[in-house]
Amino acid sequence: MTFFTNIAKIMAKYWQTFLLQGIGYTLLLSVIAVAGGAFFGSLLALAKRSKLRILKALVNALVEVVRGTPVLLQLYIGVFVFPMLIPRLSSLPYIYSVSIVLVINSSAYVSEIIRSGIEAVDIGQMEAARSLGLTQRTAMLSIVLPQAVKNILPALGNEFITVVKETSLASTFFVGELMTAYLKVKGNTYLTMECLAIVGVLYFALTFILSKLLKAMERRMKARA
Amino acid sequence: MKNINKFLCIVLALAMILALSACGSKSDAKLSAAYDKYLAEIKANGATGANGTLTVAISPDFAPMDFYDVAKNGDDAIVGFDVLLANYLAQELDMTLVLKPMSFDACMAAVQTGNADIAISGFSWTFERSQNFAISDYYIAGDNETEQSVICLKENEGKFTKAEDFVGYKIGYQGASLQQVLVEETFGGMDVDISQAYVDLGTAVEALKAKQIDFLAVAHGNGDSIIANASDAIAFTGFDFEVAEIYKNNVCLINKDNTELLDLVNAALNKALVEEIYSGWYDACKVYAGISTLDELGFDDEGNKIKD
Repeated sequence: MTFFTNIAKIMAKYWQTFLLQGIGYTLLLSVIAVAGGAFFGSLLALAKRSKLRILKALVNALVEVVRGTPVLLQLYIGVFVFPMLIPRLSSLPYIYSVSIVLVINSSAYVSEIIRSGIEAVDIGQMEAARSLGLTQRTAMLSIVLPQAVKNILPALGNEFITVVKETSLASTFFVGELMTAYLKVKGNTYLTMECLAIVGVLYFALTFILSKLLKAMERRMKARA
Repeated sequence: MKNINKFLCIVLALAMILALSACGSKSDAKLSAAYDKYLAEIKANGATGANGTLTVAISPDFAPMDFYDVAKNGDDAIVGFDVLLANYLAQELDMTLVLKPMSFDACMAAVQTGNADIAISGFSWTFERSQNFAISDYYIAGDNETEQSVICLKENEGKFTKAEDFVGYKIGYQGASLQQVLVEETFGGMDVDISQAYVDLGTAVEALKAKQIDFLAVAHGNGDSIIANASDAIAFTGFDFEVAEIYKNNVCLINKDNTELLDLVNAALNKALVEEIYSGWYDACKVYAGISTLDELGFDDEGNKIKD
């Protein structure tokens, strides 16, 4: 029972740290990573389909490196090495470097999702469109992509949920998200499991709501098709 | 969609209950009285920041040396003995202070890569650190370093007072800390299980509560913090380590190439040591962290030190 009274005590004193700051920054970082990831991920996916060999090779290398190394390591590089390349970053709070890393990371994964979504559309669709006289561009935009989106959306939803949880690694640099809230309160109280239980429930609530929203979106797309 | 609405309603309702319950809790303004006074005194020195910025890497998850006051915002929210010291150094060096909070490991990486000028976060001197950093002269943070103790579950309180008493038991510590060095030096040749290091103190405390380890080596000040929050589940064993002179104090880590800053910091630290500038700081931080009260440590209600 002390466990729950401890949780009540912690929440009475630190609720703002968890509910306002923690959730606020987690949502902020997730939205930045997801929006940036979707935008740059689409660009990367396009670059992968480009006819320029060099561009293709570069993008592939980037995606492989990003997917093949831990996010925590990427965050360290973002925070300590990026400022050497971009001096402006060194005078800004760490959340800027952290956001850039999360966007790059998310872009790499999203680009793969989009590529596989496009490739999953039967090649015959493109061939039929082309033989009916549509340009490559129109065929892509109005025949292939609309079908690809339906393949892409569920995987993209998974990626978004992963991103919400990945933002927790940014707590190494105390940027303020939920896991930072955990570190702050645990540092004051030394009540580790209680604080972890609180952030666990909050993370679950966030991802649960997100997955329900995504499911609803999927259903609506199915109804329309 | 109906389900989602219901769920959102529950979440919002919970949030409101919590918000309301929080309104009822008392403010902790009193706790910071002595600390705020010291900070104001330091800042009254009147430095203009003419010599640029002093970027300090700090790991604020270590009450009472470095922790957060969640009622404050921005840099002001990071408090503790090391923050007072950082402010004092910035004043002495006539620099503008920038605090960069990050994990203990990242503090060292920040200094090595030049992202921070100096790491001030309750560091002790160790041989490995002296190889990789320029280490400042020492400073004394109350009994945080001079007393190194072992804590245990309440039922063993006071029963283990000699090193031999620990034979056959398992003792944990924070990895890469002074406590690891002490545990290895003290119990290394004996039949004591010292195989388990923990990434941070909080995790180690959980392991102690879950009886995965029998004992945990801690700095005395951290032990006070842990016990004050453990609702009577944890206590001191009564055993204190014999601490060699070189480990008794804290130091700052500076990049090996930055000898200029090292000299300036050392001059300021020596002045503070000789003039006993930080004598009341640690007590003020102990009150702030809720380990002790103003009255117990000889402060009046406004935070003036009236007796030692």
